[in-house]
Amino acid sequence: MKYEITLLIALAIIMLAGFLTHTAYLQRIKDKLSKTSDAAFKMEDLKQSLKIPQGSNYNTLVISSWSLFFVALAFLYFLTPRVFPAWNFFDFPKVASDELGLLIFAIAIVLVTAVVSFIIPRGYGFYTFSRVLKNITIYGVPLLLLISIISSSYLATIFPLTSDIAWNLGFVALAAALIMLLAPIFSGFLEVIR
Amino acid sequence: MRPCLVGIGGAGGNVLRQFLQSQDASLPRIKLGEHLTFGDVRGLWLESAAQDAQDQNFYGNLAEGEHPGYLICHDSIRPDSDTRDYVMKNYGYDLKAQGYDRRAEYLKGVFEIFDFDQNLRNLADNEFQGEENPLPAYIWKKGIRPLTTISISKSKLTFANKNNANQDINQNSKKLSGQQIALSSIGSLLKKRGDNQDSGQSKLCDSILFMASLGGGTGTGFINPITNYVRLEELAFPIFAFGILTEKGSDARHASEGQRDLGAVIAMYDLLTKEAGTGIDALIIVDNQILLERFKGNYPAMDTAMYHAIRPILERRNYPGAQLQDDAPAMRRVIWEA
Repeated sequence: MKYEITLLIALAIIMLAGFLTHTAYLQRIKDKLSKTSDAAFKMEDLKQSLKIPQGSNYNTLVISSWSLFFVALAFLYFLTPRVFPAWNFFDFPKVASDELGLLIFAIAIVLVTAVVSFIIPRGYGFYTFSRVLKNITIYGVPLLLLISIISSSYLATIFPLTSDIAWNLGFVALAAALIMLLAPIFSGFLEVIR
Repeated sequence: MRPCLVGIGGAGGNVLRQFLQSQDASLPRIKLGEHLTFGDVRGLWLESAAQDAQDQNFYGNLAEGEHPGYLICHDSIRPDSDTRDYVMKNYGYDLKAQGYDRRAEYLKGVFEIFDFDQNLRNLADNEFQGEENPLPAYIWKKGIRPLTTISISKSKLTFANKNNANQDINQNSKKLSGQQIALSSIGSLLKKRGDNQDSGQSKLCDSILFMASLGGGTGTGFINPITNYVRLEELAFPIFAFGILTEKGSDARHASEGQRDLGAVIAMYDLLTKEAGTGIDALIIVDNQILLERFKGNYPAMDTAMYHAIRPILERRNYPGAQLQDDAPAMRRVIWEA
């Protein structure tokens, strides 16, 4: 299996870990609360009770960050034929040769992933996390994703040549951004298992 | 519960700042939504020294519609006010003193003058459009009431009814036990809360939490007079106070320990010996000396510790599937039943 695909699976595992952690977090709270009272409640009731506002600045930026994450992911894996020779940006020569080709590709990715980018951040409403973490996320994630996108764009520019350093840099920045985006979930889970 | 947090004086303002800080991520020069505080609480800082209010950049001027805001207690009194002149000539107190006298009895004295001097009340009544005591009236009507559910009450009391209302409070206090008074208006409060939610104004506060240093110049004196004003309009509105006992030694303004301790005793006596149902509902005390030793004199860390200690009662999240568990009337009922 290609090295890059192994790393793509690693990204998928991180995302899956985030989802499982989120589920375990809610279940753990439900179990703990159930022990404090005989009053029965459903998971939907719990979700309703846990929901707190995180702020418009944060919500806007985190939705944008998830959109940008999918753009960076697509740029890294589908911009050049390096990983998927049969599925890439260069299969559409009209767009690829357009001076706004990269922008069109990015907008297409944003539109395709829009629903997911809106749904995932709704999960943050179940967590209480610090303003410091919020600030780190909204400034750090776009910066890392920008590094990843620039690296991928560089690979597209020099194609058919390639650069392992640029690709690895793009991946590390992407993975770090993903971990930062999931950090509230992981920190919330650590808090609840204390 | 969602209290209106009222920080009074320097210490109250510093602690309040922790509660009113935005929980949202900060963007330079851009604010995409409303100011988000923990538990969605709202509040204001009452200060008597205009200079202290201007020497900071967290609070804006509430009188100019800025939030979170400060209110200078005596702003409603003009420099050439007849009421001010009368008090100055007859009692030697200045109603526009910049930062009240550090002696706790100063502000207490100012308010008591209004209680017993009918001529002064008549003078104030003429000058301040029906307000017999302009200081707490201004604070309540301009600062606190607009943030509470009382502001949407359909049957606001006019000044002409105030004396009747005062008598009602006294009569009720005699006839009913404290617990009965506490429970008497909860139904109307809950109804008001329901009306409030229906009308889309659910961000209004359902209670008041005063925060003040006990033993300072400003904080000590204002709680009871403002509470009296609240009780004129709503008997069962939950009112709590968070009092900070000052540390040993002289403070930054050279007020001695004994002076401040006496102030604290006077303040606690006044707060806790009111007729049932007429004063505050609970006083939460914190000893600054203990915090000082624990945090080695780091005052911002001490303020943060107080914030974290109080934060759980401001938590908006209720037990799942149930209603009205942690709202202010329920909390008040628990305190009275205990």
